[in-house]
Amino acid sequence: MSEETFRLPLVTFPPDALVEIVEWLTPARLASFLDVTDLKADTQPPKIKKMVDWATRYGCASICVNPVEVDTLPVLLRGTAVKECYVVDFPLGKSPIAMKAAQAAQVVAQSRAVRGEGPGHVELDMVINVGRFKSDPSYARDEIAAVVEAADGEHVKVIIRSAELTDAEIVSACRVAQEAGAHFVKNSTGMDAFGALPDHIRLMRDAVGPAMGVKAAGGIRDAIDVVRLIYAGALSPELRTPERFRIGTSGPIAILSSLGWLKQAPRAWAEAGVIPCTVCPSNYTAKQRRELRELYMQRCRLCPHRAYRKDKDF
Amino acid sequence: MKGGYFGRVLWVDLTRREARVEPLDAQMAHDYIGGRGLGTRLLYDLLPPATDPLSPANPLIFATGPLNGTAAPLSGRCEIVTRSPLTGTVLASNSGGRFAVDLKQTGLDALVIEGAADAPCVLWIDGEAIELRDATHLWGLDTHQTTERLLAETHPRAGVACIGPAGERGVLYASVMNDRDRAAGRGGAGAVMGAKRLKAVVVHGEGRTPIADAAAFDAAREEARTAIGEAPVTKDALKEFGTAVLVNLINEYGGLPTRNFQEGFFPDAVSVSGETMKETIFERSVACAACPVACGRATRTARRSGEGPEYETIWALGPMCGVRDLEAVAEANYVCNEMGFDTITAGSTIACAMELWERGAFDEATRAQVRAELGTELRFGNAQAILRCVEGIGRREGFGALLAEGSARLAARFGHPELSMSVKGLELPAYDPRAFRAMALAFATSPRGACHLRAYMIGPEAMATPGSIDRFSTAGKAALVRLYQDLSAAIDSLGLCIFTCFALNPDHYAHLLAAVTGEEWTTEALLAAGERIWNLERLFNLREGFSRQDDTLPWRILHQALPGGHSKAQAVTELEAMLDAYYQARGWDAAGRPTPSTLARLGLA
Repeated sequence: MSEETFRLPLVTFPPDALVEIVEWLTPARLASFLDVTDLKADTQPPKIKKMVDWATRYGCASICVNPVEVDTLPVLLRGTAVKECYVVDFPLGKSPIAMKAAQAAQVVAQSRAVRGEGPGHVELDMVINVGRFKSDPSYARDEIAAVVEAADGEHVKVIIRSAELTDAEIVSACRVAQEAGAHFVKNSTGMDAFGALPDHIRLMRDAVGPAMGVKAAGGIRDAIDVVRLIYAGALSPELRTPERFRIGTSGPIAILSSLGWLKQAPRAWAEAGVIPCTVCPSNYTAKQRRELRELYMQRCRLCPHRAYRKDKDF
Repeated sequence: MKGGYFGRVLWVDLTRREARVEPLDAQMAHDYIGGRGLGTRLLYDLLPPATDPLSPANPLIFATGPLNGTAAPLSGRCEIVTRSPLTGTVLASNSGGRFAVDLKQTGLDALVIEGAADAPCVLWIDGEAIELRDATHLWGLDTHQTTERLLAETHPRAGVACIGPAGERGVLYASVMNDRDRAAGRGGAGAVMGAKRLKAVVVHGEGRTPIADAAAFDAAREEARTAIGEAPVTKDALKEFGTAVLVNLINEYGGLPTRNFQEGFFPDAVSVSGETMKETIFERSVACAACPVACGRATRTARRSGEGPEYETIWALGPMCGVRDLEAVAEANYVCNEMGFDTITAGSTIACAMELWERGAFDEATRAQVRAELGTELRFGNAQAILRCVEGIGRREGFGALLAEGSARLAARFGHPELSMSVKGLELPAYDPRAFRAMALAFATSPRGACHLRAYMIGPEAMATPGSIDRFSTAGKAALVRLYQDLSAAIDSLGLCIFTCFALNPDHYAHLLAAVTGEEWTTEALLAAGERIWNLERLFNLREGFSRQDDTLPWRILHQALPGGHSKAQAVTELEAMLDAYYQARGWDAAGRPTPSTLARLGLA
């Protein structure tokens, strides 16, 4: 990577823009972006009930869970405006296309049958086969199209696992998802090398333009994180709707509570900034393949913020 | 007063042996909320300027908040307000346990103790009955023995706040201990109590804090409980490891002060970490009243058992002194609790003495005295020396009497004032300001001297609560420190634990206060009350001669960069600029005095 081709990741944020977002946000607006999520293996019914309580109380967009919950979640959400969101072929995305489509079709059919409120209450977060995509983007296009068709009009979000992709691959994956008829692109399963970082969310937004949704997921713990992600993925006010922007989180209460702090001194929070490396993909190389790791380390060496990395003192 | 208060203040004159109950001034309660705010207002009005803190004229004020005795989460804090004998500043020191609730249940909002008794005494309040009892037989007993005896002599479910030998003998940082191991630790309220010859305050009652709007209160309480139950710090970290969870975290930031702040990274931190504690000396969690977090630790070493240590104590008696022996730290902590003095100032003063020793600053007579009394050399890393030192401090004997004056007096006495790691005479707690700029400003401007609880900027600078900010930047920090200071003043006045701010936001507190009092409380009004309290504390200190020159940090922090760790090469070189920004944010002039318009806005003109 030469200095000419070096791209500084999105790791600094103009205070004025952040202040504008904080002032625009209300608890209700913030909640409307949230997909309240629990995708752990040991999730039990009381936790699902608790998530439903939170989502209905605060007006969150959806409850995002594993497909097995389709036997109970529709009942709990019946009569509310909160959607059900099920992950498909999660978290690796390595099933054959037909199996992905079949899983999608079954979940949609069962949800509609149990909830009894017709279409429009289900969303599917599918994982692409990253390995196949890297060698053959058309494979990803085919599997996304298959799931979109199986979803029978319900919205499909495409998890591209951006931590495993180069910049060019992120852009390509987003465009493939768009061509295949998906409604959202989503960066992460929450189990990847890193979660939602503004830099990748900005790349994804730039790739799909304003007509498609972008969902940020993974490691989002507070309202300051959300504000930076809105700056990256929904800077334009018309993008700030649940149809164009989402946040996946297992901690909605902490996020909503922390907004109250931002509201008291928005400019001070914005000016205080964040240590650039902590929101930079290049800082999270431990779990990455060598090729990507070397790319990121090369970028680090050219970065104007590299002083932070000298002693990794942040 | 519809809710939150009983409307009663007990005034006790120990010199005259008189007691009277007077109505609580409703306007004062509204303007200053309760607890720290109410206590500070009373102190400011009562205390003539330049009064010796250990004279009878310095009142000792116990003040509850409107949420004490309710089911609001973490509502078990009681404030003790007085003028500090260690620093000469205003002093508000709070403790957990159950004493705040016990005091509130007597039907009192505050207790003002004036004068001094001519012989040791105990104040026993049982509902409406008020009695001053002789305490000659208790004088000299430690805090645990005193508590046991008083519970046997009064009521088995009474609340006891007492002093140990340290308070009796005037250790300048003696604490007031309640529920055996809960300390109103910092600044020497125990010495003030000892000077009054008041061994203990014992309270019992059946009163229930009135709640004006029960439905609104239930909703506000549930909202707060949900937030506390779902915030990572309160639901996981503190619950599982106690405050000691911070040892590894702060050390990784290069901000764990080591060997009297000569370094910010302690290589053996894991030996004294919360994780190690859980695997070794931990017995069970201990909770204060109405607290679902239970960050307290009951522990057992090979020889003894007791409560603690918590994070600040582990650091002060451990890494600050270069000690990695967790059992020794725990046993030294037990001694501090029983003798009744502040572990932070004690550990920091011992660390200062260790550096003086290693630099050869002690004269030969003092070195010989130390060797003879400790039976060892006073070097960093010497756990045995720590144990001997805390025993000496508690008795205020020999070299312990020098240590009992705090690090500022000790370092000045031996010609090295720069080796006292204190602000306004109060020792810094367990966060190296060179690693955390907002914390640096918070330490410099804290009215009672260096204190982490006046604005816990470690939240955003190290724990990502309510979100992560750049810990090395000064941008925005003045306004953030002001926000935290104002809110912390309000939290301390409500009777809540500062740990609530890991989960709640300013709105939550306003909702709770509005519901319990039945008054309209917006978040802005709550923060304005906090700001009023903060400015009154400033006025108190200005009246006592403090100025901008006192809003500073130890020389080492300003001029010596950290030599290693993840804050390597950092020093606080921007303090004056930060102070300028801070005074401006506060509406103070360049000398750090509230302007007339600020005072008028706050009703303090």
